[in-house]
Amino acid sequence: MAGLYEIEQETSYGEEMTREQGLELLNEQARLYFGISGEEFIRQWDAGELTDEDACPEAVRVAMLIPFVR
Amino acid sequence: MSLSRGAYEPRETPHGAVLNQNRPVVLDMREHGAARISLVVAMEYSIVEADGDRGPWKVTTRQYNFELERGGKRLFAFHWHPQPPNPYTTPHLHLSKQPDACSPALALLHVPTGRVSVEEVIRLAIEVGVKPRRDDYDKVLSETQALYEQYRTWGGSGPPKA
Repeated sequence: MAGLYEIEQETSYGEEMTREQGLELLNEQARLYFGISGEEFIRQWDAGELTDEDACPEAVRVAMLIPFVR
Repeated sequence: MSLSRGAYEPRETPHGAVLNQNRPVVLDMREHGAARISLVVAMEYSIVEADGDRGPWKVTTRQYNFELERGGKRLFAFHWHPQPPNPYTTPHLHLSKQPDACSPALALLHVPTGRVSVEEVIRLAIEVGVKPRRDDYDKVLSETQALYEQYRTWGGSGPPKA
């Protein structure tokens, strides 16, 4: 397990965002890729309206921000 | 890395971890003047109780998005997003939309892959021309890949069904 500790010493830890910061980021990226608010993006994502082949890659990128506001 | 609030505590809904606020990170290239490669890393995870060597607590991945762009346009996007209602629940790859890379029809496909690690995407970035920041990158990536493989609970096309 010596290798594990060596790596931990080189690891930098992440910074937590507030919900407000997360929502600002989600709004920004939902508008950038889909022209909609973050709230509307979450509604469409949860309803399965962003799963077609054309939307999938960009929709998944934005959807990764949903945990920052739930 | 940016983490969702309470990132180090268990909670019902998954946590988020994104590199550079989910914006592409532009990387240095080996060849001067080459179109720049950018990296996107985003994961959802949960903190769960675990037995044995993996315990008493472990981080389990719930979803991931790893992307490489070239000149600001998608080159590869490695996805795993198993939560409904999205019907594509196994790990897959989206190919480039760039016209010199492959046809638009191919770029729409969800090409099946096994589970992909960040280390593997970084190696791919180096393969397409990114300049490693460390001379010992192979050793570092091999070590962290080995740890990931030791503690992950699944590879292949998805976790065991409950």
